[in-house]
Amino acid sequence: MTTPDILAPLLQRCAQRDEKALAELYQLTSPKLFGVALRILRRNDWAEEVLQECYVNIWQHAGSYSSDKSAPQTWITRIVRNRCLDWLRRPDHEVADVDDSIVENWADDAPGPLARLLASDDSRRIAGCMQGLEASHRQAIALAYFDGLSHSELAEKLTLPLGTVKSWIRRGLEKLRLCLG
Amino acid sequence: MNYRKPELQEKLAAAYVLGTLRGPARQRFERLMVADAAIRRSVAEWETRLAPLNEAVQPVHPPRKVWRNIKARLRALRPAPSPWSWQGLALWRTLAGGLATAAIVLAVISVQLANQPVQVQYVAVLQDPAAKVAMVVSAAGIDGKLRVQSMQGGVPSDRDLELWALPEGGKPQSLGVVGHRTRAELAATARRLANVPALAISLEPKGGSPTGQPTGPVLYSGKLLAM
Repeated sequence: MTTPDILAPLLQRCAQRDEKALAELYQLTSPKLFGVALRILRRNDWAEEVLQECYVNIWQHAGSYSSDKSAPQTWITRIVRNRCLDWLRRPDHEVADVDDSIVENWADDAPGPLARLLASDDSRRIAGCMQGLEASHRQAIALAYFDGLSHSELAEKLTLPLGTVKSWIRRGLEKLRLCLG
Repeated sequence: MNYRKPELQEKLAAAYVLGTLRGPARQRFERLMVADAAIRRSVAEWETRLAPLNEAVQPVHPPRKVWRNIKARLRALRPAPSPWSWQGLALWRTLAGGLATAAIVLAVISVQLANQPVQVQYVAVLQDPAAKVAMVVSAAGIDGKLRVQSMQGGVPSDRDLELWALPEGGKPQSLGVVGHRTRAELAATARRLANVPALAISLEPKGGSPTGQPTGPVLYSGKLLAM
């Protein structure tokens, strides 16, 4: 379990050019971030390239991390997520369809991804809020967040009108906001 | 669309963090973030709200070559002059990666500036490694002092930011210490920017680099545009 207490000092040491600190940070955070990038990009080589770029960026800019603005894990994850979404914008990067074998069934109320959220203190609250959403809204939000699907990709995947998808997402997010505060 | 409406800002911030805000709309929103602290706050709140979802992502160990490649890239950055030389790999990467966004931000800024009576001579949009706009440097007229507007905080209180001109093929030249202020006017004028293709910000000890050359990491960099 990585906590801000471990990661923040590592970032501080990275800012002071301590390469061992980056190695520790990589050990602690790379499996999760690689998982995040793989889900969005769906290609090993792309996810590897993004991960490499992101850790070099983290190394170069650790000095600009500010702990009062966001948790270190959130800051690192933001760099990776934004880089993945940028990557998808490149016209030569045609992304494969979502592999249904890795799309977890968030529409289902059966355990699975929700159970993983419930297992951790940090995510129990959001698990409850996700469970409170209508199954279809939950599924749409999960496909957008985890698999990087755009509104139109969601409409295609779920064979729904674009307007329906947009309104599910909007209502789902609004409900999450009210639930999470 | 009236982007000033808080409800709309809130919706866009949520869509931005979720990832459904795409393409030109995403870029437009990133430009708005630059200028608006309330939007940046909404985005940070949504990031914090949704961050626990990542607990559900199955960790996957990256192949060993990923760390080997990172180490190789760090090595390329390590020799003292390299991250700073105009040929430096790191800087080129940052510049190339950030160029698309910077060009768009510049387009907007130049329109805004064009409506002002003062003639703007130079503009540079400096970005951080996440390609977020961190600072805008501008100078009005050839004798105009350099104005720096900072979009990101978080500078440790015992350090200062220093602005550098990166002349092609030459050593970085200090343009002055920016300090911690959101808006700063430096003593240097636009004359110092003639034939300078890019600017960068480094993190330095209080009062600026003691050596006259950058000693700390490059935090932001960007191309300089003559208007």
